[in-house]
Amino acid sequence: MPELGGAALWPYLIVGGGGLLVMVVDSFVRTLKKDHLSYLTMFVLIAAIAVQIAGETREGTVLHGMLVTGAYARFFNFLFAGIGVVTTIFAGGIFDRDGRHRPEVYPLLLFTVLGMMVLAAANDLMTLFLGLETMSLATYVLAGGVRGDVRSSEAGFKYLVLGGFSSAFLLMGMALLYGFAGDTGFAGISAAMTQGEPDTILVTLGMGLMLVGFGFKVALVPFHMWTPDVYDGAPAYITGFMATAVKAAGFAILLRWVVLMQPQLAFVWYPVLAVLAVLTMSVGNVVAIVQSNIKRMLAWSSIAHAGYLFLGLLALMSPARGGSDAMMRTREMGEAAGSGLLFYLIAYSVMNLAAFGVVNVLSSERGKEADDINRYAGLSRRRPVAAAVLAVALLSLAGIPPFVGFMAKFYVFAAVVRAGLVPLAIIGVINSLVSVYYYLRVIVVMYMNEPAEDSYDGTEWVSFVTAGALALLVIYLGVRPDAFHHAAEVVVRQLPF
Amino acid sequence: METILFWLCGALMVLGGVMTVTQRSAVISAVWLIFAFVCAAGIFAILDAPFVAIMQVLVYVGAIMVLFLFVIMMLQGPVLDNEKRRLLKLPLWPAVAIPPVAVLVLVGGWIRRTGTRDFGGTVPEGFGQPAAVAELLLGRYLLAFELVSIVLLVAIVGALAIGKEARKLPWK
Repeated sequence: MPELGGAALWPYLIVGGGGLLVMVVDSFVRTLKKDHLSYLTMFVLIAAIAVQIAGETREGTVLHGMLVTGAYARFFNFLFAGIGVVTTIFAGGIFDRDGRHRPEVYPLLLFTVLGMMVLAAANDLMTLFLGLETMSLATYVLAGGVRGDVRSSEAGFKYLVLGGFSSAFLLMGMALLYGFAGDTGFAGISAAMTQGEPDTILVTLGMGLMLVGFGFKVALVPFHMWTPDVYDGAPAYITGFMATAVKAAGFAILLRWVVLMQPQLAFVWYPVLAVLAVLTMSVGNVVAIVQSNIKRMLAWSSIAHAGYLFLGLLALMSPARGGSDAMMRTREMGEAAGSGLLFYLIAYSVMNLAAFGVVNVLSSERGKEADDINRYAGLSRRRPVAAAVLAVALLSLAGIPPFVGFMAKFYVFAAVVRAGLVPLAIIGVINSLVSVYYYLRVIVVMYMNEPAEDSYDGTEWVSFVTAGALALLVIYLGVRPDAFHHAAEVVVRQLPF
Repeated sequence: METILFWLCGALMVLGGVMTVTQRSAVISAVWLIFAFVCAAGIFAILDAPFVAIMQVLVYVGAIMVLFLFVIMMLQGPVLDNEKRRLLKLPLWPAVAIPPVAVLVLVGGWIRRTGTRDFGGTVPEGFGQPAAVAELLLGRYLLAFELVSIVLLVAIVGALAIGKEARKLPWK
């Protein structure tokens, strides 16, 4: 890959510099109104998107092979910046209404996005780890930084301690891989993997430990324990951000890492990963059934969705190898699985943000999150638009046909079947049937029950409009997924298989 | 010459370590720890790593230990209640001493069995000099270097945001 000039770095510079700018403006400009910071943050993110569209489009590496830019990085930069914009809108809406002003949210949000962008484009173990840590450190503070809220502090603390623990696993795995390859660059590692006999113990252990680190970030089942508590304790706009952007970032690097490590990884860890994917789907869906707290329910559902996404990864690395004919088929399968995975990430982000957007608007009482499902009773009569948006988002999460969740699941499961993993696809479909129950329960409460005295209410119209637009996008992408899916296919084709 | 220096530094470092843990006064312990750190810097210098040696003196001796001393002096020695005092009197030293000795014996035995191996041949010209380190930091690892500063900035902002009360924040 050619080494590109600094022009490819502009999106990263804008987001990073924008974070610094927001901090400086916040501390030195005293005449600002509170919501101007959110406008500035949005402007920075939109500028990053614009530069990304107008700027460098070639595939190549930047800064001595530390980052790899191109279609894949661009795809995720758009996704992260888009989620960032929506989160900024939701965050701004709730601050201005009830004085829960947290100015540090905006620079931290921008730094998180920067970390994710670096993570998705990492081409070296160094940048991988630093991107991951920039993202993680900022999310710990975002989740735990609501002053005077015990549950938020608990969430931040749990996330910090367990996240630090998982980073140690990741680092140890990276150290072992470095010890094997003698190089931290992905190119050097992949060259060392293909040359001669790899040192099986070092590579296997290193890959396993790195998988633990990644598994924590995307909430794979044995490493998922933090998810419900953190998603529940953090304010709803941050939970929506974590559930979408952080998970997408985790899968962005996982997908590239799986492609990099493919033969060895598939050879050793494939059965373990298949079991973990099944466990992730099943545990997430079954435990979500008994939740009476909507944020905890969405947290468990996000674990289940990580399981579906992991099915896509398994289809990508299914160990079917042989002659040139089989190689061709493997490549085709890999492309189908990869594009399905990327489309799933878009779909999942859009519908989850819509759901958390409504939860966020309804969290109107100071310091109280709208998390009790029973108090959504009669929302359809009080706030018909909010109820409709939430219903669309939840039906889409369940995978009901006219919405995007169905198309996303269809692409992933089709790729899984094509890779010859029919039992896994069947388990996935059964799981998504189970999930219909708990998503529908919220809709039943909203539409069938009479509104009570203590039912939630909210009036902040900008967030309502944003969530409504996301719901329309859910419907549009469910009916016409081809453009986005085609874009995902183009992106995946750039990945070396 | 190098061998003599190595044994000298090593012996003094062990002496410093032993004195650190056996002193009753925390301040004198800290001073012995500084002594041990300086000897460690000497060993780094012998190992063709002058930059690490300088950083060892600057960062550990110059900054961290001074911070330690300040903290110790401000607290005026640890205040322990009786329960903790009794815990300290327990013969805990075997638990601390046995693992490192065991590791030493194991590694020594392994080296005796396999013999010392030549890892990687000669050291390249200028290795470990500040210039070589700077070239890596501002060349190949420039992005990593800058990202570390962002990570530290995020950590500072986060610590301030969580640790301070709302009205005492510097920006409001």
